[in-house]
Amino acid sequence: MSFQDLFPVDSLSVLQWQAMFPLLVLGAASVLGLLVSPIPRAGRAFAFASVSGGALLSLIGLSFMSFQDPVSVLDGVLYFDRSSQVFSFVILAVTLGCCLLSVGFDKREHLVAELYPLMGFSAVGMIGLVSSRHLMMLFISLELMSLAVYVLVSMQRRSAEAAEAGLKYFLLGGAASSVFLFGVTLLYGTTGTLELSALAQSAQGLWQGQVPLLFALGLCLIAVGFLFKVGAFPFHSWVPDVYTGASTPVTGFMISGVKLAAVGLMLRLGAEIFALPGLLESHGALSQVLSVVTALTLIVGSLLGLVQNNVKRMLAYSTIAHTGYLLLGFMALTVGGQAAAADAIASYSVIYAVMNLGCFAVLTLVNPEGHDDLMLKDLAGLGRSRPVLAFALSVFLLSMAGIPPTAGFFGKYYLFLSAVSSGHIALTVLAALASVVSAAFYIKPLVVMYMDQPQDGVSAPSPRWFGAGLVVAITLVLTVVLGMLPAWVSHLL
Amino acid sequence: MNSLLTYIALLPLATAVLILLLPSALTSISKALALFASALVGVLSLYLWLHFDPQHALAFAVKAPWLPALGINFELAADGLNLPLVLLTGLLTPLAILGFWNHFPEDLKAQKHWAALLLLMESGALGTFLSQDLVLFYASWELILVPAYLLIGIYGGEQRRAATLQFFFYTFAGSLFMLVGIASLFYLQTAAGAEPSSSFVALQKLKIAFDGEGLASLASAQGLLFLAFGAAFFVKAPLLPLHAWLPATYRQAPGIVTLYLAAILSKMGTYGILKVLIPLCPQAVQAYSPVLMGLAALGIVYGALLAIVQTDLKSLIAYSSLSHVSYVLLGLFSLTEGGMGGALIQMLNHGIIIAGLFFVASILEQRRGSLLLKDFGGWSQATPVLAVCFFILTLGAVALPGTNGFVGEFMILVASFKASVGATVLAGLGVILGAVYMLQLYQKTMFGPLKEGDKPSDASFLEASFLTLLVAAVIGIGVAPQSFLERSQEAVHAVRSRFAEPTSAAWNTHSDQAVVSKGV
Amino acid sequence: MTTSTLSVLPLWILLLPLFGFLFNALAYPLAAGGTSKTHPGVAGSVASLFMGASFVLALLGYGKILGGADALHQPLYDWIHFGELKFSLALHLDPLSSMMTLIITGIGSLIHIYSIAYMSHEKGVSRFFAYLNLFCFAMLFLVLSDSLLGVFFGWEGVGLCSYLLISYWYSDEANVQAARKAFLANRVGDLGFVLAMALIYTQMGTLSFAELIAGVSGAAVAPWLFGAAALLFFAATGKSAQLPLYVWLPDAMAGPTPVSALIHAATMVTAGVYLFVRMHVFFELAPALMSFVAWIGVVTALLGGTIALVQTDIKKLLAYSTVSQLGFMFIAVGVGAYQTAMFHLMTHAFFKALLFLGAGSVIHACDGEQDMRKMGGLAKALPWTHLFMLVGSAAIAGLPVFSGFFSKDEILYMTLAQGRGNFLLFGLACVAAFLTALYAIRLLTLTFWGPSHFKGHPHESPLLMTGPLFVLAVLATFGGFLGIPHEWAHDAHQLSLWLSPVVAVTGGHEAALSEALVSGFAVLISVIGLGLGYAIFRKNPDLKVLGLEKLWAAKYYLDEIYQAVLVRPLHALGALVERGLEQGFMFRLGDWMGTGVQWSGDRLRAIQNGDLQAFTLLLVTGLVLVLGILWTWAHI
Repeated sequence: MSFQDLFPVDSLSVLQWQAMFPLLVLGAASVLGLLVSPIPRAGRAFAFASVSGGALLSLIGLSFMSFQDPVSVLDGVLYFDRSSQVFSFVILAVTLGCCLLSVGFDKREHLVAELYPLMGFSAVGMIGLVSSRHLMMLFISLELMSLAVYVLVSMQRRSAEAAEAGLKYFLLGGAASSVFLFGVTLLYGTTGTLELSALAQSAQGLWQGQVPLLFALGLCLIAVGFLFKVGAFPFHSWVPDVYTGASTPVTGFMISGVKLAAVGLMLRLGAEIFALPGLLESHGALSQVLSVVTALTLIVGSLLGLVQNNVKRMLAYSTIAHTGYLLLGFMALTVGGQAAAADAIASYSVIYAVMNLGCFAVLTLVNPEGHDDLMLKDLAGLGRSRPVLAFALSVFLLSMAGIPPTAGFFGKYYLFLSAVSSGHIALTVLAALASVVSAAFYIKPLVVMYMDQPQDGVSAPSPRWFGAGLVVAITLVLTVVLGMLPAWVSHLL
Repeated sequence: MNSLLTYIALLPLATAVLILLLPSALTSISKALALFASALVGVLSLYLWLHFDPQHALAFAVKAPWLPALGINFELAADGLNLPLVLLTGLLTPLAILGFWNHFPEDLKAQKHWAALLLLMESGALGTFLSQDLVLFYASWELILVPAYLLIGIYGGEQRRAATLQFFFYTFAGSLFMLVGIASLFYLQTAAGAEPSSSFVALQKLKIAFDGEGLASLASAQGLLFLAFGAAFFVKAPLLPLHAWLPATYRQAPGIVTLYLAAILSKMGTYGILKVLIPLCPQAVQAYSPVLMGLAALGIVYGALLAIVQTDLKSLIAYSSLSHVSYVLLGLFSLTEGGMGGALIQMLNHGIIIAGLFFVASILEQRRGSLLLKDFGGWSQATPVLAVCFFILTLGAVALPGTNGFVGEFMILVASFKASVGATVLAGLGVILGAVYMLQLYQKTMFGPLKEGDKPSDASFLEASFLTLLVAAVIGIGVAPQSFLERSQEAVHAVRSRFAEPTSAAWNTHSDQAVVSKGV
Repeated sequence: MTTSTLSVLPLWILLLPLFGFLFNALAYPLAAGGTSKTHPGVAGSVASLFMGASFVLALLGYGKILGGADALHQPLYDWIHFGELKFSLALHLDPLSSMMTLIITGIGSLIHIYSIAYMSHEKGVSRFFAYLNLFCFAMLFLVLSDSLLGVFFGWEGVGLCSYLLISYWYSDEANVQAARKAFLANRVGDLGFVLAMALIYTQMGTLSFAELIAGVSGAAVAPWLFGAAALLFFAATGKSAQLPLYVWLPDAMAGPTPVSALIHAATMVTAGVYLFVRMHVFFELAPALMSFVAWIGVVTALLGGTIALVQTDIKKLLAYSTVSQLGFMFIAVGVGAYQTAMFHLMTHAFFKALLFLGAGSVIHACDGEQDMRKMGGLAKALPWTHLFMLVGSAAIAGLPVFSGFFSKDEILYMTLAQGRGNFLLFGLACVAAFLTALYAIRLLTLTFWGPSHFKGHPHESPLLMTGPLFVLAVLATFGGFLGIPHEWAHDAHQLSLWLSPVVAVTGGHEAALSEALVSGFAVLISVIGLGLGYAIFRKNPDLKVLGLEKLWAAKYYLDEIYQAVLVRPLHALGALVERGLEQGFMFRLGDWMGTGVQWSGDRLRAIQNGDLQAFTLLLVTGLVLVLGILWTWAHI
C-alpha cells in the first residue's frame, strides 16, 4: 500500500477539495491561532482574529456550496451532504459566535488566549463528526472535539470548580468514548466494515428475522456513546456540573456547538443504521428502552430544572429536557420510520443552537465579575437596568419554552408533529407536560428580572462588550424571524 | 381591499414593535401612537362589519404560504363567527385606551410598555379571531400570553406574582394540549392520505373516528382531540372547574388588562369552541353535551354564589364574569342554532358589559384608593354621570330586557331549554342570583350615605365618553340585536350542519372548495 | 282571532311617555346643567303633558274600537330572527289592552299632575318624572304587546322603574334595601316567566298571543301546559304581590307616595291579573292550577287583610290592603271570572289610587309623618282630603253605589256561580271582605276622626293635588256602574260585553245563591265591619284579637322565614363555596401540582449529588440495564 493509496491527494477532484474547504481552513486557522497565541499582549487578539477569521471564511465558503449530490472522500471517511452542510454551517456560526462573545470576557476572567484555537480545534472535530460515514473517522472526530472541550472546561485557572468539572467531564467522557469505541469494534467484527452504508447493507444481509446479538450490542454501545454526548438520561449526570463549572462562553459553546454536533452524529447514525427496516420495529425491547430513555430524560430535565437557583445549572437541565424532545424526534425517525423526522430534528437543532447561544451571550454580559455562578436572584431588576438584555433573555427563554411567535415554538411543534405522526402520542403528551413544567423555570428569570427589586438596591453594572452584544442582536433577530418565517428552517435536509 | 384583514391583524403588532423601538426622546408619544393605531384598526373593523356579506362563507380572505411543506398558510378571513368579535376587539381597544388615558402610569417608560403590550394583545386577539388556519390560530392565541403575563406581573397588584404564575400555567398547559391536538390532526390527515393542511376548511373535511360508550369514547381519536382542544379552550373561557386562575388574575391585573382579559381574551376560549372544537369534534361534543351543559349551568350558579360573598369590587366582577361566560358556554353546548347564535351575541355583549364594569371598578379604585365594597357608598349624588352609566351597565349584567345582556341570555335559555331542561333551570337561577350580586355591587357603591370625607369626582370627559359609548351599545344591541345577529346566521348554520354529517364517510380531498369571496 | 286594522295609534300612545322620559332624563338636565338644577314645574308639566296626550290618544283608540274596529295592530320589527328562534315585536290594541291603556294613561296623567305639587319641595325632580314616564312607557308596552315576549319587556321594565322609584331617596339605606327586595322578589317570579317562555316556545314555536291561543284552542290538557301555566302564575305572584312573593310590596312604600298610587296600586301590580286574562284560554287547559290560583288568591286576601289591621304606617296599611285586593282579583281569575277580575282591577285602580293619593295628601299635610298614631282629627284641617278619603274608603269597603261594591260583590258571587268555586271559597272571601271594611274604617278613624296627636299645623293640599283627587273620587264613586248588568239579572254587563272579543262571555252556572242575595250579604258584611271597626278603633287604635295581632304585626313571620330559609342559607352557601371549594381546593390545585412537581424535583436531586463515583455508577447502571434488556430480548 503506497502513500498514494492511503492519501490519494492527487486524485481528489475540485469538488472534493471544495467540500473539505471549511475543515481545512478552520483547521489551519486554529493551528495558526495556537501559534500566535503566546505573543505577548497581542496574542489574544491574534488568536481571536485567526480563529474567527477562519470560521468566517469557512462559513462564507460553505454557504456558496451546494451538496445536492453528496461528495464522498475516501469512501465515506469524509462525506459531505446536505445534512453535513447544515450542521457544519451552524457549528461554524456557533464557533464564530462563541469567539465573539468571549472577547472581553476572556480578559476579565483571565482565560488564556488558547481559548480560541481550542474552540477552533473542537469545531474541526465537530465538523468531522457531522461529515463522515466512517465509524473510525467518527470516533476520531469525537475525540478531537471532546479533548479540546475538556481543556476548555477546565481552563478557568482560578476556579477549582472549573477544574473539577473538567476532570469529571474528562473521566466520564473517556469512559463513554471507550464504550463507543467498543461498540464500533463489535460492529466491525460482525460486518467487517466501518463505512456506514456498507455496514447497513451487510447488516441487512446478516439477519433474516434475527438480528445478531453482537451487532445489537454494538449498536447499543454506540448509542450509549452518543446518548452520553447529548446528555440523555441516565448518561446525563455530567451535564449540570460541567455546564455550571465551565466559564459562560464555553458553556454556551458546549450547549450550542458540542450538543449540535452530537445531535448530528445521532441523526446520521439514526438515519443510516437505527432506521434500518426491521431493526427496531421487530424488536420491541430496544424501542421500549429508547422510549423509556426519552421519557426519563424529559422528566429529569424538566423536574430538576425546576429546583435550581443557579441560572447556568437551570439551563443545563433545560438542555437535558431539550434532549428529550430531540429523542422524541429520534424515536419518530427510527422506531416510527418517519423520514421527515430528520427534518424536524435538524430544524430544532438549528433553532436550539440559536436560542441557547443567544441566552449565553446575555449571561456572559450579566455574569458578575470573578465568580462564574450567576444565581437567579442576581437577575433582579435587570428589566430596569438593562432593558434590552432583559428583553432579549426573555425572548430566548420564551423561545425555549416554545411560545409563539418565537422560533422555539415551531421547532417544538415540528418535533411533536413527527412524534405524533409516528404514533408516539403518549410520549408526546408527556413531552407537552414536561414543557409546562420547564416553562415554569423558563418563566422564573422573567419574574425576577421584571418583578423583583435587586437585593442591594442596585444591580451591578454590567459590561458592554461589542462581540457579545452583536451575538445577542443576531440571535435575537433570528429567534424572532425564524419564528415568523419558519419555512426558512423547515426543510434543511 | 384584499389586504384589509392583514392590516387589521398586523397593524397593532407592527405598531407595538415600532413603539418598543422608539428612541427615548419620543417615548412620550407611545400612548398616542397606540391610540392612533388601534383607532385605525377600529375603523377598519367597522368597515369590515358594514361591508360583510353573510352569503360568502369566508369574506375578505387573505392567503399566503407560510410553511408550505406542512400546509400551513397565513390565512385570514372574516366569517359570521368572528365578525362580532373582531368588531368588539377593534372598537373596544381604542376606546379603552382613550378611557384609561389618564390611568396609564406616569412613568413614560411604563407607558411605553403598556402601549406596546396592549397592542400585542390586540394583534393576538385579532389574529386568533380572523385566522382560518389552525397553526396561525395557535400562534396568535399564544401571542397573548406573554404580554398579558408581563403587564400583570410588572404592573399588577400586590399578590401579582402568584396570580401571574397561576395564569401562565393554566393557560400554557391548556395551550400545549392544543398543540398536541394540532399535531395529531396532521397525522390524521396523512393517515387518511390527504395533503397536510392546517386550513380550517381542509381540516373540516377530515372524518375523525368516534366510537365507544361513555368514558371509553374519550379514548377514540375524536375523544382525544376533544380533550386536547378542550383543555385550551375550557381553561381560557373558563369552564368550571378550570377557572381557578381567573379570580386572582382579574383581581391583580391593572385595570385595562383586567378589562382586556375579561372582555376580549376570554372570548378566545368560547370562540375556539365554536370555531374549532365543535366543527372538528362534532360527535364528541354532541355526546358530551349533557355533561358540558351541566358544567356550564353549574358555572353560572357557582360564579354567582361566589360573587355574592365577595367583599371587593374586582373579585365580585370577576366571578360575575365567570357566571356570564358560563351562559355563553351553555348556549354553545346546547348545540342548537339559536343557542350558538345566542352564545355568539352574548360574547359580544359580555365583552361590552364586563369592559364597562371593570372600567367603573378602575375609576372607583383610582378615586378611592381601595377596592373594598365597605369603603364605598353614596357616590350617586357626587358622581351622577358615573352612576347612570354604571347603572345601565348593571342592568345589562342582570340581563334586563332592552339591554344587550338580555338578548344573549334569553336566546341561550330558550334554546338550551330544548336541549336540557335541567341545565336550563339551574342556569335560570343565575337570573336571580345575578340580580342579587349586581344590585349589591351597585347599591353598596352608589347608594346609601356618602362615607365621611369621601369626595369623589365624577367621570372625566374621556371616562364619560368611553362609558357613554358602552352604554349606547348596551341599549342599542338590546333594542335592535338583529343587525348583529343576521351576519352570523349562515356561519352558525354551517357549524350546526356538522352534526348532520355521517362519521364513516370516506375521505374526499378536493370536493366542494369553500366559497372564498374576494370581498369588496 | 278577530280581524285587526293596521294603525300607528298604539305606537304613539306608547311613544309619548317615552318622549317625556327622554325630555326629563336627557334633554332637560343637559339644558339645565344637571338634574339638581331642574325645576319641578317644568319637569312635571312636560311629563304630565306627554301623559295627557297619550291619554287622549288612548281615548281615540278606544273610540276606534268602539266604532267597529276589532283591534288596532302595529307591527314593530323582528327583534331576533336566528335559526329556530324567531321573535317579533308588535303592538296590538284590542278591547282588553284598550281598557288597560285608559287606566294607565288616565290615572297616570292624574298622578303626574298630582306629583307636580307633591314633589315641589324636592331637588332634581326631573329624575322623578323621567322614571314615572318611563314606567308608563313600560307599562303600556306590557299591555299593548301582542306577545309574551313583549309583555316580558314591559314586565321587566316596570319592575326596573319600580326599583328606581322605591330607591328614589337612595341616600337612605332602608329605601335602598326595600328597592332591592322588590327587585329580587320580582326577579324570582321573572325566572318563572323566562322558563315559561322557554317551555312554551319549545313546545309551540311562538310566543305571540294570537298564535298561542289559536294553537291551544281545542287542545287536550297536557302536562307541559300545566307546567307553563304554573310558571306564569309563579311569575304573576311576584309582580302582583301574591303568596309567596308578596313580601316586597309593603316595603315598596319607601318610594314617594304618587309612586305607590300609580305603580304599587293602580297599574303594575295588576300586570299578573292582566296576563291571566290575556292568556286565559291557555290557563283553562290547566284546571287544577286554576283552582289553586283561586285558593292562593283567597289566602293572600286574608293575609293582607289581617296584616293591614295592625299597621300603623298609613301607606303600609294601604299596601297590605292592595295585597288583599289583588288576592280578590286572583280569586276571580282562579274561578274563571275574567271579566270580573278586570272589573275589580279597574275599580281598584280608581279607589286605591284615590286612597294612596289621599294618604299622600295627609302625609304632605303632616310634613312627611306617616304614622297614623301620630295623626288623628285631621278631618277639620283637611276637609277635601277627608271627603275624598271617605269616598275611597266607602268604595274599598264595598258600600253600595260606590265602585268597589259592584266589583267585589261580583267576585263573591262568582265564587259560587263558577264551576271551580264553592262555599268554602265564598266564605273565606267574605271574611276577607269583612277585613277590608275593618281596616278601611281603621284608617279613617285613626287619621281623620278621633283625638288629634299631631303636633304641627296640618294644611290642606294645593289644587294640583286635590284636583286629581277629585277626579279619582268621581271615578271611584261611579266607576262601578260600568259593571252593572243591563238588567239586574244574570246577563252580561257592559264591561263584559266590551271585553267579549277577548274573553268570551260565559253564562256561568246557576249559583246556589242568587246574585241579589249575595249582594245583600256583602253589604251586610261591609256595614258590620265598618260599624264594628268604628266602635273598636275610636277608643283604641291597637287591635287585640286572641293574641293574633302579634302574628299579624310580625306579618306571619314570612320575612323572617325567608331570611332563615333563603337569604341566609344563600350567603352561607356562598361563603361555604368560597372557603371550602374555592380557597380550599380550586386555588390550591395549582399549588398542589406545583408542590408535587417541586417535591419530585427535590427527590430527584438525590441522584445528582455531584460525586464522580455516583456519576459513574449511574452511567454503568444505565449501561448494564441497556445490556440486560438486550440480553433478555435475545434469549426469549
